[in-house]
Amino acid sequence: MIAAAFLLLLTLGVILLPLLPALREWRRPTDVTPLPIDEADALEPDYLARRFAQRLDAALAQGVDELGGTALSMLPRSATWPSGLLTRKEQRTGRSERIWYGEGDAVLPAGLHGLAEIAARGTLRAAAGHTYRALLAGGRLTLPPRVRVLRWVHGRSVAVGDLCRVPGRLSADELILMGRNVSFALLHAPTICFAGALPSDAQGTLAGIEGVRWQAAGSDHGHGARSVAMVDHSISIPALRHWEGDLMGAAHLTLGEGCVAQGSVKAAGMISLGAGCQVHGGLMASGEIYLAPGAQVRASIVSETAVVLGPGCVVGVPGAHATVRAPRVEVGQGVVVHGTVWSGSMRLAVGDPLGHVPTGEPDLDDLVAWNEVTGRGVAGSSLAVAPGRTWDGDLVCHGDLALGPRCHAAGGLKAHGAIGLGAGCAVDGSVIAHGEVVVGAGVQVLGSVASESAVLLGPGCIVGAPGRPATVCAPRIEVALGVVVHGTVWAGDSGDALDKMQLVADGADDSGVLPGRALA
Amino acid sequence: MGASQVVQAAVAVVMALGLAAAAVPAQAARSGVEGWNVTLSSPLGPLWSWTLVVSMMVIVLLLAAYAARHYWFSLNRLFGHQRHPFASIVSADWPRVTIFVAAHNEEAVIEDCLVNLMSVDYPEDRMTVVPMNDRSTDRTREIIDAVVERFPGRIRPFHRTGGKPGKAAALKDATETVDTDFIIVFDADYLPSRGLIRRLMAPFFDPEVGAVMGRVVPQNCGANLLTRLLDLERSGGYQVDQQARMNLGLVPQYGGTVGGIRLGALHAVGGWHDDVLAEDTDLTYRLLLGGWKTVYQNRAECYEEVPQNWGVRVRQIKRWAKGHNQAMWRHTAGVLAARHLSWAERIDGALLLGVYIMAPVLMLGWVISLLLYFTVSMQWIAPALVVIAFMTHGALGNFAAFFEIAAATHMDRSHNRIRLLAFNWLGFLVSAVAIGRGALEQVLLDRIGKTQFKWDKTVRYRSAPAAGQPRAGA
Repeated sequence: MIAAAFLLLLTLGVILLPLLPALREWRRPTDVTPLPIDEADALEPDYLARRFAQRLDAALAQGVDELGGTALSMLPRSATWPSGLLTRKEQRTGRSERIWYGEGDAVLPAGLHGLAEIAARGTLRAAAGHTYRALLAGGRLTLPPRVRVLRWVHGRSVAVGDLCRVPGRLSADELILMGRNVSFALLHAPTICFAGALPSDAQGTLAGIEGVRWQAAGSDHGHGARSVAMVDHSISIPALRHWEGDLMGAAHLTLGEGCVAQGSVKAAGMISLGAGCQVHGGLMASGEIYLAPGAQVRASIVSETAVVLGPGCVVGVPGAHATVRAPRVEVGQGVVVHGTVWSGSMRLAVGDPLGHVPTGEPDLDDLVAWNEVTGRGVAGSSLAVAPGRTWDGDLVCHGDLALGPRCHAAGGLKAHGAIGLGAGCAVDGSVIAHGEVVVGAGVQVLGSVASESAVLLGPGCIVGAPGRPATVCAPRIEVALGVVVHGTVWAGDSGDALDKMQLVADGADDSGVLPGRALA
Repeated sequence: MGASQVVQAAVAVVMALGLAAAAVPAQAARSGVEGWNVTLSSPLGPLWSWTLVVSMMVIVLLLAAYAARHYWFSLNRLFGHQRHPFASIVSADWPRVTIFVAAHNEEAVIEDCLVNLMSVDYPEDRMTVVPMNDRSTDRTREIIDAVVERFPGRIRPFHRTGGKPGKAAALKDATETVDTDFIIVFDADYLPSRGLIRRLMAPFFDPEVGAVMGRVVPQNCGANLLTRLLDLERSGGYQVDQQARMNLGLVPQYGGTVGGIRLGALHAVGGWHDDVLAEDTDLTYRLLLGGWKTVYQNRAECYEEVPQNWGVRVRQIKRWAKGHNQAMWRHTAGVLAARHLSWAERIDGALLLGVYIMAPVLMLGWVISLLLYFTVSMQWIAPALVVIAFMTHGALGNFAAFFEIAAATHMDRSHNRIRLLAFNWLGFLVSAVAIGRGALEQVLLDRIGKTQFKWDKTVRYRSAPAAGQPRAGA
């Protein structure tokens, strides 16, 4: 009898116990507000900077001396701060927990790490090797080498030095210049240049490069004097520089990735063009001439020794033929020459320069089923496209997708496996893959590049275009020198994880390897 | 849509009844039976006995399959790899899009929806808002025209006065007037947030994506117990169920609102079908069979209004059930036979189609349990196994059901509302009965008379602005 009663009570208890908290919450509600949704668009890359700027402006307008419980202090302009400005604790620890702001330009002093936000209406220059929580500048913001910014960085333009580390958000209204070996998570600007060495002034041109002398030389077909840059010794021009006029070297000339020369390049020694370089004139050298993958030269190339054309290079333009002339010419896969290749004693072709499909190899249309309604092609298994192929419409591949050099897809690409784009390829749409996306040198992608695994952007690549932004996103992103991205580079698990992003940005876990890396 | 919750209810109730049914053979076993042979006896004969037992086993297996599926989804969402492949696409050359707002007698809510759409951050010259006013007899037309005047050039109303009734028919007609490659569809009670359109459009950069679905969040969840239970149900359905299907490469569902469609894909699979009761589910499967993917974007969140009284809720879920079951009838065989889909996609696709039929299956289980109890004497060497099977299945089912909602609530970081979880029994039972009735009507009554397509509108709870006056704060 007792056992039966106990069993009955136990049963009733098991049934009723879960109902008690439910009953309580029903009668005395404690959690009835709608779930919050991201109405403020906090995932926008510059959201944190914009929100801070608004709060700072509001605080300054009200004349208060604190912001969210943190003291506000005026930034001096000089890097040498007057004694007495810092508290004893700040002097002793080398850390400031105040929010600093300045109405003009500012230079942050050595020996002081900023654990709260620092803002300047003009330009702002951080101190090398220091750590900051967040930096905001109305003008140019410079992060010298080995600076670490935990939460966010925003300026009109931002220059990031070598070995910097930015686990939070880095955004600019106009331009971001990335140094070498920079670790990052999120970059956002109309133009992001992975330029390597940072020019001090006159960014992006030959100014500031030691040994370059400019002089006017004659008339350019009635269009006025044409400039010539003279160099008396061997020189290596950093990536992504651009200039108008001829460049003449007395020794060897090396152009970094993505350089654009609006003229010819001549050298007494050898000439080496980095991946994705564009020379609107010709190349002439006594020594060898090397063109890295994806380089383009509009006029003739003449060498007294040898010419080596990397995969995906283009020489000449349709309607204005050019000549490649040297005792020895080596031609990579997917190279296009509009005109003549004339090798005095030897011509070596690596692979199939003209992109002809070898006999017996199926044509693209045999491997892809094209939908007449949508214009979309679907390949049921892995697909390797021969060099130089062009097609209209999107292409979906259920395996891995490999495009040979100099292919042109007038649509988007999607693969369930990995995607590899050969040198000099052009894709008018987006590139989306479950596996890795490896983008070869000198490739141009007008749309976004997204992978659920990793994206590797080869030297001289361009993603997006001015006025046509794009996003590169993947759990891991590695970017070579000479790459230009117009829009956003978002490395990490995903933009869905807002809280995670902010936690990392707060420095809660900044010890690990960051998902984005600008290569040396 | 609450489908998974219905299945969960089914699992729970069959557990209870299954225990009752199992109790009989447990007593009968005491008479002693040798070996593993099962001995059934019934005054109605062996065919009767075996039919009941086998039917019961099939039902248990089906329910156990759904229970396992819910477990799998919950665990995946809590501990598995999360896929949000398009959530980081924030910079893009955004394509032109037409945004439909379906409205039939929506004077109470249409203005808020249109005004919210005017403040989204999608480029103005790339989006056209089209309020799709289908034969409204209230002030919907007047309110739409007033909003059009406030935002000149940005809204192109589509006032429909004739043709076939129903949302699918209205969408079909309105789509004919579109000159963009993509459309997004909202119901009139939805309140799109600032970044919503971009988040819905981002997946379309993938040329394989035919449709995108966002997350629906109840705005009036604090109104009463029903809205709070529906809030929990929505959380489980979207935060766990839909996202887990996305994570696992299965079949996320286009839900007909807060979603986008690639028109090329729509045309490739035959356009809108205005003879279906659930154009969203139908389209999800036609796209799947046509080689297009549907993507769920968990961060594309939008507020909606949920029913505030049980009568409205019952009508709503009955409508959904009929449409879903119709899609099940049309597409299950095709999905299972589709060779271009993985086996996981095929099985999940079929299970998703079957979620609403599980309520009638559950009721059949009740009946069979009772028949087993009263008409069949079952003897088994190990009757405890039957008890364990029922208990395990029942317990797993219950836990799976509640676990999905609990996991979602945990992920939403809204901890106190989880206390209401035990009350979800109530919602489950009401839904199960409503769906069962809907299925019965569909099989018996709808076949007698020709199905009438009409707007089966959900009641709105916001009040309409006064005539000639914009809403306060607008």
